[in-house]
Amino acid sequence: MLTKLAGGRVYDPANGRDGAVGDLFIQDGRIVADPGPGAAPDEVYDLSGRVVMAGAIDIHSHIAGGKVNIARLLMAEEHRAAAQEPCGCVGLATPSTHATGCRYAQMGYTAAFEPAMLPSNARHAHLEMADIPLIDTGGYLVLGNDDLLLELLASGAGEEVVADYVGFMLNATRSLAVKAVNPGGINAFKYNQRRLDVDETGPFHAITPRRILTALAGAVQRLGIPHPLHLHGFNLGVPGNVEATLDSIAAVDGLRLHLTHVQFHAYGMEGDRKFSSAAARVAEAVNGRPNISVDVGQIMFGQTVTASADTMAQMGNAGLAHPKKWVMMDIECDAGCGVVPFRYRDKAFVNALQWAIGLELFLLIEDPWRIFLTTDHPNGAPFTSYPELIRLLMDRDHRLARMAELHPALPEHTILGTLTREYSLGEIATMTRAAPARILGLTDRGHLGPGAVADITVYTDRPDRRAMFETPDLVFKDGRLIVRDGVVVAFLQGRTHVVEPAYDPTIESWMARRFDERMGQRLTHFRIAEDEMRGGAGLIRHACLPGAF
Amino acid sequence: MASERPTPPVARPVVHRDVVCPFCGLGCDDLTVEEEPPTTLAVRSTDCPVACERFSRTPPAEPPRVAGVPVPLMEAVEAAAALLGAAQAPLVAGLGTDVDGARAALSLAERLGAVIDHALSDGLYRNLAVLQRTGWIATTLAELRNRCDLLLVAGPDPAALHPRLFERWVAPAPALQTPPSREVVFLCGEPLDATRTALSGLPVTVLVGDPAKIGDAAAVLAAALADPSRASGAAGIAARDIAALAERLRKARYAVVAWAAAAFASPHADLTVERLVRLVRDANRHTRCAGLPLAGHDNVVGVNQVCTWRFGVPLRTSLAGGMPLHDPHRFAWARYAEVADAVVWVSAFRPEVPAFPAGQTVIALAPPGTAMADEPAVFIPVGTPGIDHAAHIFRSDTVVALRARRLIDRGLPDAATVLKAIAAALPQEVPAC
Amino acid sequence: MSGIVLTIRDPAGPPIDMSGVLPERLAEGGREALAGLMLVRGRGRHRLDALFTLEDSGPAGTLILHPGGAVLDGVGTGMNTGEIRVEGECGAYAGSAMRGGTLAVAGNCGAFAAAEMSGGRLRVAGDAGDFLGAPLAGGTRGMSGGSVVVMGNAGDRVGERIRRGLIAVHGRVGSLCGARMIAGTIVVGAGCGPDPGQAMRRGSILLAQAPDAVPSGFVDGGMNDWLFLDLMRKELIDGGAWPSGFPTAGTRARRLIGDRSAGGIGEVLVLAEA
Repeated sequence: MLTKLAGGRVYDPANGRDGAVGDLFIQDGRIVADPGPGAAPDEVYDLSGRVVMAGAIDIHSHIAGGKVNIARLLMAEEHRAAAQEPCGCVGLATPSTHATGCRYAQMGYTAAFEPAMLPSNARHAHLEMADIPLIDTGGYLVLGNDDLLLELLASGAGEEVVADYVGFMLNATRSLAVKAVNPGGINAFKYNQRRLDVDETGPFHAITPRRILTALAGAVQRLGIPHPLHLHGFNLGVPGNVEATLDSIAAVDGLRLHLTHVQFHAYGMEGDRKFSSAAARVAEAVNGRPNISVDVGQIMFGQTVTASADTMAQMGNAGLAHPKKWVMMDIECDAGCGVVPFRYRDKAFVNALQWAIGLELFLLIEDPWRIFLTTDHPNGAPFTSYPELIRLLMDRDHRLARMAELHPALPEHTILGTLTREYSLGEIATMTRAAPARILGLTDRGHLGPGAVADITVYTDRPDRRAMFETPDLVFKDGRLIVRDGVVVAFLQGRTHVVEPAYDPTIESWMARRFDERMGQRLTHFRIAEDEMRGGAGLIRHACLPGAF
Repeated sequence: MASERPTPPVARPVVHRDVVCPFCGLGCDDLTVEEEPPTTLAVRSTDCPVACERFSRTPPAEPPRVAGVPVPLMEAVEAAAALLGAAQAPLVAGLGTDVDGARAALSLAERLGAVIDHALSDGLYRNLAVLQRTGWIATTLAELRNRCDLLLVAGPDPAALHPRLFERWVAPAPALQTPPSREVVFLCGEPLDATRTALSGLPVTVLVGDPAKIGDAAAVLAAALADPSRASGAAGIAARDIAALAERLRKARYAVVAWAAAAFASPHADLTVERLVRLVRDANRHTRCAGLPLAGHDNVVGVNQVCTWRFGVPLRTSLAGGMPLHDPHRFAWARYAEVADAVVWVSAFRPEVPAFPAGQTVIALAPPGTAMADEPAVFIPVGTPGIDHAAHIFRSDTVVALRARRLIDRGLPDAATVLKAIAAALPQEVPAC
Repeated sequence: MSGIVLTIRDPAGPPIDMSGVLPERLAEGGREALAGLMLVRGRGRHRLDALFTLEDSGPAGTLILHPGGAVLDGVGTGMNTGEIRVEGECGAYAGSAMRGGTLAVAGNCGAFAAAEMSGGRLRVAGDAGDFLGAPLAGGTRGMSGGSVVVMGNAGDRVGERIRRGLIAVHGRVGSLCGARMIAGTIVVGAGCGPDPGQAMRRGSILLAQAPDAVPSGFVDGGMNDWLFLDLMRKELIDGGAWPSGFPTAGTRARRLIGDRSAGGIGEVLVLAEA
């Protein structure tokens, strides 16, 4: 069946299109070249005047796995309130898998990625992702606090062995990328160390966080994984942590590095409140280094829940929990998790400044190919707040008006009021489609050229950008219409994206021995078989290209 | 004479290695199980009573029954669908099944607007209520095995429910502590003989106390941490013993407090768990300490995970009117069974179906040979996960999911297939909620 | 406008969730609005007037329910104003999350009555179940205001985690009365089961009879005169909350202070005869 999307304004930055009117043709789930005047499309959508982009891609959103379920359990009140409303699951911080898929699709997203999948919890994460309808998914594997890796590094293992370990783990857990969370810190916390400096050796494995970070960044490069090492950095949330952030950038010494939710890592210690914005310094570092990319992790005001693998940081936050309950777990010689409900208040100085810091980062970082729109769902805010965030980026007046409603001391502590930049539609399309696809190595997504998978979103161009991005007119997934006028009209299963880097299998016998000695689990049972993934239907493999990145 | 007949060839036993045991929640995956074809199984590698009993119970398949009369599967499915289509207050419970079975049961429940609960949710909620209400600090089995240097076992010996706990997770020396020392203290509970044997290499202390008052002991121990010299006694344990334990807890490197709440006597055992959780939290001011709630028979942990991700809320939820409404009081299966007018009971791990109020319409999915007090309206024998079909199950500590494999083929359908068929056979007039 | 009497049509059947059936609905939208409320019974939603007959009767702003043996859960949930009278029994969650108004139950009520109540009055002529005034699932706080009077007995965990407000039970209560209390007052006219005040932080539990043993974590502060008991008695008598089993005069009481193991300075007061 041939479908024609006629006359829309096409925003396709990957192929140099910035709003020019054009037609798109879909066949067998992909975009095809214009078949010429002889072709008779079976279906035509008249998109005159409307904005067309590829389906959006969220590169960092906690949507599946143990800590997401723990968050749901702690947020009982929001689910009870939702049960009273007829369409209650709007704006939940901890939506069900069904609501997650539906809400993303209704906002024009066709893929979202779980950024903190623990090796021991990977099977759970994949089982859960299989129940998220409508969108593609995948997981980034948390490494850097696993005792086996730290043992390897402390024993002086060379780069090749480390790469083999990482390669094995990515294959066995069906992951797409490598994630490092507070390298060394979560492990140190298991030994009652509450802070760990970048150059301090850990309490059991005599290895520094810097060494772990550089080893992982090196392994990612050696293996040729498309996505850079995805780093949740040191001292999250601590005033003055910009130093550690800049240290991390320096540590990888030109290797690619992605700094996630960098807003939480862009704090200075200046001024009367001993808490200040260091966004300008971070932006400068990012602007000057093409090997560095970031996603913001913007906070938005309201009740949410923070959930991460970083037990060291979360223990520090536990006292601020709202409501007053929280969960910490030490997990399987892997990592951990900390789940702390939290409410960001616009009248609280710290939260207001966090909000401003995130926006400063968006507006100061120049290259829309290296900055990504995230709220670190649900840590900064539920992902359903993205349309409001887009409005703040595209509409300076709205931004200033919102700022005026916040804590009165805010203007003296931020340059946000002076920043006039407004994101264009093309830049939004880059930041939310083209760039995420490119940085994840999803070569046939995020763009609208022939051969691309037909994940397409159509918007009515509205001056109120929040309304525009909240309710796309049409959303296509794999060429099928799934959303019309904000309503889900068809259900389908997405696919799971993975990489399978090559590695020397000799590492497996060492790993099997360690598993037998320590983990109470056979290595063969740790591995996830292909037919376990979405009932066998679901893998999309992306090529690793050693030396290419 | 009988001796003239040729003897039949002896079937050689098939040996299955590294079998995953899906039954109690410890997720032991090192079993050797011998199969004497066609369907007799015997566990050879361990004398764990749960594994030995469950794997050896593989009676041959039998046909489904409607009102006690054997019928083909599709007829039973259709009868079940007809009964459920007419129900005004359906209950889908038991839920003793694997992840796929749970998914199918929850989908059926959603279609029906039913209430959902697991047979063992009482034990689950002793812990879950505390998690929902206050949260906790917890750990997992490999952390216990490799990092724990002081294990405090609160209440009755968990090995009664999880037999290989100490053998697999406590006896081996911690690989990630230097020096690799470990000691075990039993608080208000006596270790079983098998436990003492498993721990024979380790220092073991037993503080004898009233098992109904573990919460009091936990409370005074927590209070003593700040200043052990001012410790009080409780539960029949002397103040000086509490003081000594508080000292050791403060000095531990990685202490674990473990308990099996299902074995606690009190009907208000969640309050006891809450005090254990508080003890753990207070101990974290002085050192690292984490709790280890032990649970997980019949994949209750896994089914609760599936329910929570599917609906956003855990078990004991109603799907009436299309919106999941969670209420651990109203929607506990034993309570709702009193008012339900149709019950789907799934018990694939064990051949047990509870007695329901007289006249209750029951559709039971259980292993062949399950004895039931009253003949259900529909009985469909199903395979056992990890024996008749591959299955995903969760381990007790909620993080690790394992895949158990198929060992034999008795020609039994799995619960997921049956439940999906029932949902598909529902009359079209039953509006999906 | 008068009040409305709701009489169950079919008492046999699963419990009905009465959340949303409030006098304020009647005040806002009249009888039509009330009749059209959608209520959950079993698997389905039904119009209120399909489940109940409606009759104009009684004072304005009042709903009178005749359950006739049907189980009605959540009567008066979230009520702000007005009066609901139940001529029969209530199921679970009677008056839960109440903010104002009066709920009067002629018979017994089930578990979780007045759960997370923050204002208003609940009066139960019969018995109450477990978790009276306690939090809802996952909640950290129970009742935070208002008053509850139960003329009969109540179950276990009465007043668990309450923050403020008054619970008076003229009869007996079960175990764990006032467990984890944050503040507030609980008055029990006859005996109480084991472990009153377990892990309480502050607040007062007044008992007519001493518990079998001094609860673990409590210190016996001895017998004394507590002048505030006079004031309390006067106030509570007005509200019908001074149990008939309590001394009618005098201020002597034995004071148990705790729960020390939770850092608590709450009190269990055992009133002595004058």
